[in-house]
Amino acid sequence: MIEKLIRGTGEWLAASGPESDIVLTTRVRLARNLAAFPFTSRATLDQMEAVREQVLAAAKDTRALGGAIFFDLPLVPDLEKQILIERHLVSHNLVAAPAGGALIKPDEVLSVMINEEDHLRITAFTSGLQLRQAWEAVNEVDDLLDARLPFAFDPEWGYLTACPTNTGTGMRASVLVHLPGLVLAKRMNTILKGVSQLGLSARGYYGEGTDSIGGFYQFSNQVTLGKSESDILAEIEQVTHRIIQNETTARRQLYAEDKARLEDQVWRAYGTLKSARVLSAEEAMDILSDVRLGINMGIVPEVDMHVLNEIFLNAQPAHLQYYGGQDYTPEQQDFLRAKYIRERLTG
Amino acid sequence: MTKCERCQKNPASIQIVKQIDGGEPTKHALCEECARELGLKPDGSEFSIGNLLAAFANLELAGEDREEADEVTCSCGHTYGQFGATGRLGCARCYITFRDRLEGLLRKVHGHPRHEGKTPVRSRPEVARSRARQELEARLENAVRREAYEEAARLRDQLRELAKQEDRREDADA
Repeated sequence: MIEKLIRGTGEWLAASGPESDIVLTTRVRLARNLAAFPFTSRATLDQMEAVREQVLAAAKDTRALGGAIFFDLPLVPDLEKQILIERHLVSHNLVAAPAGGALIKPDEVLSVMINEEDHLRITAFTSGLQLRQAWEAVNEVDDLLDARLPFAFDPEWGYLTACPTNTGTGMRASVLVHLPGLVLAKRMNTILKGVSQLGLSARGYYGEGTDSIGGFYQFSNQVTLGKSESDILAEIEQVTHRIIQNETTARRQLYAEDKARLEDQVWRAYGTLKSARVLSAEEAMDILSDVRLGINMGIVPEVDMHVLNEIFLNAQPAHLQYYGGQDYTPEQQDFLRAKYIRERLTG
Repeated sequence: MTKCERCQKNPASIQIVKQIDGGEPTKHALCEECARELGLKPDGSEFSIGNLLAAFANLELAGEDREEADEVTCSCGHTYGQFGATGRLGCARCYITFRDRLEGLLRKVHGHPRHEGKTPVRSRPEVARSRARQELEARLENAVRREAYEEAARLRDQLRELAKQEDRREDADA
């Protein structure tokens, strides 16, 4: 089953979306619960299975979800679970849930998690900055399920979710951005503060808390109740555009003021990728980030962005394990990672 | 080493400092397990300041009226104390059972605790009525403030009519 997904590399890796120099991916997620059942923390196994059956029945043969692959998580082998997590198709919570399921479309744009923290988490994942498109995709699935399954809803508090931080629209919209320019210019603290004052939450994407390896950050809305979906999306769009402007300026300044050093950093990174024998996940992330910047700025014209995105994906632990076909120790993984990247870049 | 303030058992390996709007900072010390249970472990894509705020609200509750919090039980078996401990509600009815406390929490997290977004198809008539009533109430208040008493009287009659229709509908449903 995982084969079908692995064979393609997911639409979001294509790097074809708008602003994909700086915005890697956009994600919009809707949380919904069926009115007829308690939330997952209180539901019995029978009830969770009933939720799953009802959702699958409602999704069957529909335009939006027909052709989606269903993963019954408790039955999925551990390695494949990790692959789904690495591809951002399911969450750690879902994998740990007693009766979790996921409906995933092969293009990996749309996925529906069942029996996670809420009965339903409908998610669309797109390349570049495409908030409207992602919203329309999840909205369509929501309409279709809404027509067949009564949702828990209150006129004053909106869609009712297990955690009150999601109540209302049940919508969490986020963008994943790459900000090496601002990191090098030492302006990230100001940016993060500013973003937070504008009502968005910000975190480093790889690494703990607001630390970020490789300069990747995720921004998402904090508030889900009291604003319309349209307003929430408009806010994120606005803030993201400001950040893109800031990052673009920072990159230009960097290139103007310190071209030699920038090019050196990029070429050293590229050189390491092509010849290293051992690469830890952290180091790889850092180096790939430099090369990514290099490609964006035309310093390394010989590498295609989608190749880099592919490397990002496949250099992760479970993916390496899967391709290697056996259990590796962390040391062996580091060796394998370096080998895979070398071959992909020079092959 | 300080003990986790939630379970009082494990050593607190995580310290969180909360400072809202330049006010006094409050500190919380948690162990890894409690942090994860409160939804604070940043290993998924759902980690957000929103989760943090909810977790803090719950932590603050844990100190004060734990016993009081366990007095009322929702039909699903959940108590507000359990919500405080897990950060999760048990069912849709919990929102009604724990309405007053949740109102305060929702205001803290979202600012404006009234839904302005999309509604499910089945609820649209009800939401439309609810929003119409709210609008009339706002206009009534405004008219009274302006001392436009004739207009206010008209609006009040409209509201009474709406309320009568609501009662008739409820009787029909019962």
